[in-house]
Amino acid sequence: MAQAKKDSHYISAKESRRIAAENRKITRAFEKKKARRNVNESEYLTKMADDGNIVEFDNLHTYFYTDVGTVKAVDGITFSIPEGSIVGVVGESGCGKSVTSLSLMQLVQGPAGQIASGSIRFKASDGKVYDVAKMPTAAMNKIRGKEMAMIFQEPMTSLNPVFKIGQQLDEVMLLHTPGATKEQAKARSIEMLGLVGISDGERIYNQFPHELSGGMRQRVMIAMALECNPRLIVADEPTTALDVTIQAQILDLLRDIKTKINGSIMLITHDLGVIAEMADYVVVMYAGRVIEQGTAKEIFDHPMHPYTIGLQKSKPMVNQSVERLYSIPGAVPNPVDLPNYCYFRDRCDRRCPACNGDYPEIRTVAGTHRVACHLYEPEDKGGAK
Amino acid sequence: MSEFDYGLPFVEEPDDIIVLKHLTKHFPIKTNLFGKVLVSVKAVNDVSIKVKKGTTLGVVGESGCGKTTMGRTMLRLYDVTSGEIIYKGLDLSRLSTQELRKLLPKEEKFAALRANGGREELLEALAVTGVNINDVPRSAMRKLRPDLQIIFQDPYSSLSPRLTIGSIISEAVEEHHIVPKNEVREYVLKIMKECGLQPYYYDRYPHEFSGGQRQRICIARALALNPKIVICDEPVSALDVSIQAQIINLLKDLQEQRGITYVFISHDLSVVKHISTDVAVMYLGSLMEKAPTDAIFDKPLHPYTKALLSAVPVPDPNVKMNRIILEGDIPSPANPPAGCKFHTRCRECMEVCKSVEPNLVEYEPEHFVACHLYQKETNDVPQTPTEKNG
Repeated sequence: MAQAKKDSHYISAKESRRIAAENRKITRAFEKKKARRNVNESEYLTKMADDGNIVEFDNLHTYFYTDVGTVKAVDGITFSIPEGSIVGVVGESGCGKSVTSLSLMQLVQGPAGQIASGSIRFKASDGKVYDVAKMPTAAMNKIRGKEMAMIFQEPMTSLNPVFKIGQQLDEVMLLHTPGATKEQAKARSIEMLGLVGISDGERIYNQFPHELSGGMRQRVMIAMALECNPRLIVADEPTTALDVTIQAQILDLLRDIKTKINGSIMLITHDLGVIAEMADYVVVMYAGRVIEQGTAKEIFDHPMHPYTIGLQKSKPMVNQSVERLYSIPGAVPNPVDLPNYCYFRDRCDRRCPACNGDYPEIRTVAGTHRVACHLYEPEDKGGAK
Repeated sequence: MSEFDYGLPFVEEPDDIIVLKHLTKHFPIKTNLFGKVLVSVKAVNDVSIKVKKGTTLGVVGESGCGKTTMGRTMLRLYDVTSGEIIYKGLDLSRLSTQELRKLLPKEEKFAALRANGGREELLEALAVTGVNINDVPRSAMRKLRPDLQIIFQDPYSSLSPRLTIGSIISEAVEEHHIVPKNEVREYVLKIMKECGLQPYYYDRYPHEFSGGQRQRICIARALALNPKIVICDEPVSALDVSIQAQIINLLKDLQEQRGITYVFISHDLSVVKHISTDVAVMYLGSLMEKAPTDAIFDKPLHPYTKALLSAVPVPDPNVKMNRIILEGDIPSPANPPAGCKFHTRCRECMEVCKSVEPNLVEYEPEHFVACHLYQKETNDVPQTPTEKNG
């Protein structure tokens, strides 16, 4: 793929057609597998590695088979979400954080986007552990929205403009609760609107999305996510499109909700401030891989990976002033043909000879703190170099 | 207009480059059969600000507070409803003597000069008084455009996909005869280099670039005309943190080299703090507070500014902010609340706030605030919220 003229990322039409044909073969097989009906449960039931977790990503690969080559949007990530905690995933655009969450919900845009390998283990409320990566769509539909729910970035575009708020909220309940009546659904919807701080739920219930402000729409999205008492909420940039004052309201609400439903939240954002405020655990991603993970304290007090350090230094802060902002030189590498050395090497200011070698394995440096960088030796070999 | 009878809250100084006097911009949304405006969106309401040469004015506020409208009105992309936008130090030598005459303020003392002043005298007089950009005829406005430039928020939609980078930047350079025709390419390459763009980008198209690079192209396009004033309308909001820092540093460097004055519009307070010398806080079309950056961030006066500052998340889990969470949403600018516009969400709302709109006053030197808490004499203790003065 794209080997002929690697430097210019140029692909001839003939080459592109060949790749497209190949991709069709691959993606068709994936789609067929997902579309099967009446699959025996045993095929996708599995066991958790650690029973205290609600979600475990295990060496997950999500690829996009495009006509210019395979984009490895998520390239072997491993992390877990402990029950009752908020895990923040942070990274720049294109680092694969959204694709990770979409993989978990099995909402990656097919047929080009496919979970190529790895597993995502999810523990449902009845104690069963599902491997989302292997689940057929029909089975997935039963737990998506019920056991895990998602809050999307753009409240403006993720609500259907032609249906009233009420109809969209009721749908969740009617789909997932067998035997639920419309009256029950309505009562539940209005209750949920109250829970997210909308005082006149009755009125909002009969309104259309365009009649609401951005903050209100995001509240409706959250209400929709809460409809079936999910155990896990995936919030993909829930406040990016909102003003700071509204952002503060929504973050406050999310924290509240977490204690009320006693669930876990996977929070995806590019804003380090939001992460610091909300998350118990932080996962830093870069070009489709996890480069550093640990508790919020570890990541913010002792960042180790040069990228994490650079990211923190490059953010201007309200409570301190610097003469000149630190900026990470260069840009994220092209995701179609990533190098076989550390993806951050060309932008890194702490390069060492080892960096010319293979991509660094992620290693545990202290307790829960793990980092993928040659500068640090694994814990058992004794601290940093 | 009677409501504008009271004077400006500040005194004009010679080194001010922009002076806004009671700037107001309303957009009609409903008219009756005869074209009389029944309902209008009051996007910018009686804003008076001055900006010193070579400094950066940061304009912050929530979406819908009128900060973008203000920026665009300042460039005369919209015509004002009322008020004046005065620029000093623009290059007026491009205008004809006839046009210069029209630009003189309509005051008695300029009557003689207008009637039979020479070109040199006119230019001299205008350098002192400044030019009200609303008096400039359309034809002459084009000649002033090089001095006033804008960088738009979205680098994805503000570059024509059909033009190469070279032609995007050189288009205006040729139009305004900045350099002789045979030197345009060389000049454009020089500007591109200053903005951190490689020379071989010249013949490429915008879709080949990332957001950060496109924003550099937008900056290069604005700077190629040697502007005196650049309005930056959320130039970094669409970019990633690490790219944001690159662009902010670039803007700062260029300001140092060329002495450009920026009006930096943003909703991100931390970015504004970093780049600005003065900050203006807007809410629902009105100016709430204006002060030097340090004063605003260290000692905010207006309750809205306080709430806005406390809502910014700090990237440090050890800092627990004492957060002021504002209730509800920003009211509709078509039907703003009476009295102080912020009173519906204000914690320290008093009776007087509901009926009387506070004036912008200089509470401390250079620190302007429009709030009833600070309306008394400067040496007075501000009223506590419990003291109702209805």
